[in-house]
Amino acid sequence: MSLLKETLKEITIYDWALLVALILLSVSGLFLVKGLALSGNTASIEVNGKLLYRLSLNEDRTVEVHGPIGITRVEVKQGKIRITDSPCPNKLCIRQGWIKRGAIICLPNRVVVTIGGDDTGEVDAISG
Amino acid sequence: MKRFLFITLNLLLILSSFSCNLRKEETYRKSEFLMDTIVTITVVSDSEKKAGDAMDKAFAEIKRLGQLLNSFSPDSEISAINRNAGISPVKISPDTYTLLEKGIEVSTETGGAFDMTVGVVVNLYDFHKKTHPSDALIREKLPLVNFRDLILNKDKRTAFLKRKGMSVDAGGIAKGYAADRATAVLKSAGIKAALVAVAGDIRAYGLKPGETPWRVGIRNPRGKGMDDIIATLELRDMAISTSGDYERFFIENGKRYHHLIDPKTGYPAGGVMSVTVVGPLAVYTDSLATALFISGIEKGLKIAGTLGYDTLMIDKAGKIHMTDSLKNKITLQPRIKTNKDK
Amino acid sequence: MQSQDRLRIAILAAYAIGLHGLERMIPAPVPWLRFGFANIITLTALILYGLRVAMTITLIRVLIVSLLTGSFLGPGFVLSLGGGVASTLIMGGAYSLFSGIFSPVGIGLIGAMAHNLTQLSLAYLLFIRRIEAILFVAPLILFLGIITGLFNGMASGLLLKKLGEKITVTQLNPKTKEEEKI
Repeated sequence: MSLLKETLKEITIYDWALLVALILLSVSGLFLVKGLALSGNTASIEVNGKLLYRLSLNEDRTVEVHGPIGITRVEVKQGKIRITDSPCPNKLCIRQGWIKRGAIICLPNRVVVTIGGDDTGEVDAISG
Repeated sequence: MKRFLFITLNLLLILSSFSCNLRKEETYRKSEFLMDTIVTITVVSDSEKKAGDAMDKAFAEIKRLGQLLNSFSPDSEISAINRNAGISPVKISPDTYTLLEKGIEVSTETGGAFDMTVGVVVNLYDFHKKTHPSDALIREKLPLVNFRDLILNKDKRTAFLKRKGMSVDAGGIAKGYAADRATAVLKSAGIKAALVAVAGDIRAYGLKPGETPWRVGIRNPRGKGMDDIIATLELRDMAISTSGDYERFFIENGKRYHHLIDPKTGYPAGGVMSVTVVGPLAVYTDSLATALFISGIEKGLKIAGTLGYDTLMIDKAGKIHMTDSLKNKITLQPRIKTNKDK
Repeated sequence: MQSQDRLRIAILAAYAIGLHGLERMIPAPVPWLRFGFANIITLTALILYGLRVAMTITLIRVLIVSLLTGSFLGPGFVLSLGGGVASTLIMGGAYSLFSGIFSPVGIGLIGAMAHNLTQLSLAYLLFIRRIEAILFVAPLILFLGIITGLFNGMASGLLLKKLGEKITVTQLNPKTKEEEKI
């Protein structure tokens, strides 16, 4: 125990300063990011940096995307989105569950699901 | 000292990873009245000059094709073919040949639902004067509608209408073909992303600035105004065309007479309000939209599936039918208003 | 370098590998959440034997763990390598510049920050070119890095004391670059 006390005594004032500064920085970063536009009623699905789908969260549906190691299945239901199936070893992306804001990433299969801007119904051209 | 440099370099590397893209890409849009309709081209480019030059080239190509393929001007090759119906084959340019060839291909694949020779019956209807032909007149002219009587000779590059009185009308396929050709011109002019809209026949490729895909709307067949759309979808290296009973029509005694005439009966095809086809080439989406409209919902969906094209069909009741693979790509607009009429 | 030190370094490397591998096996409820306990070893080695040794241990650790877990050349490997190298380098720099100002706790904090920042940058550059997604997740990761850095720093300090009690260690005095016995 005395070893611990010794170690604690070694902590300098600069250590504390650094600690406080870093905490302030990350907390303020947290607030900054809350304001970041990662909310909306559309979600985009990208694989390997390539945008494959931009789906409206108002339409319940399931889509599949092909990544380098297999097929990742994404489901939209009642305004939320989640990854239901993915070939990655840890299945961390699936465990994230439903999101309405932010993003889900499946790193091994290079899939990124991001909540994005609102679908204004604006189009570049009309057929008909 | 070396250590310090090493560390600084490391930090700089990390910081620079957040720097943004330097070259500014913008969209440029231009419209011209060609092929008897409004043609709008939108390109993405980092140089206004490059965009302008490319668009000019594309418009020139569409103009050239319009002159070859339109049925109205006596100088066009189509008119020449019609003038010589039952007389002799006419030598045509490669574009016209390719167009007719593809038209016949679609006719064959759709069992004659698309038929470029149907014009002779369509012309019996006058959508300005709001008149339609008698049953007897239709019966008389109907035998002249037969795509099999349009003979193409590949070696001589000629087209021949076997029977006198027959006429070929490229209207249902020429705009799609023009959109494809314009796209090719833009690509060879170095444009990385563009959208070509020849009226409702649209072809798009590449991505807009910000890596966003082109978005296209499908018109509400009973909507009010030009912006009333029932669905949107993203167009990634795809073409889209729509045929509807609202483009040229009149209503008489509660019955709608429109320009999509069934080549087999001579009467406007029923059961459908509009058909949208999505696929890689506009020449096919254009002609197939007509063909599927004529074929009706059930047969239309089947044909689309066989040919590997996607379609969205709206029946007379306003109900939407889609091919399965289109369901995940379409965003239906929440308000789908259709007026019920015949 | 004495053979005793060589042995010690090998053992340290082994511990580093053990710590890293063990940590990887812990199922994490939140993705990308890795404390980086192996950095305790890195920091300790850095202070005891200097940057070159610390870097060697880092490289050995990342390489062997990735080979053993079959993630060699995979995304996890790239992030581990990037984070490990960057944090080792920066800790090395911080130690040689600021060893009087910061205790191992401070250096550990700096190292953890460098580790996470590098991983975030690499993830953005190589895998997920969606800056919003990265930025969204960054504050949380950095905050966790603070906790990790603190813990690692203290553990390292403890370890150093423990080692210093038992054995004689030759260490490069960072200021004079001369060997002196402690």
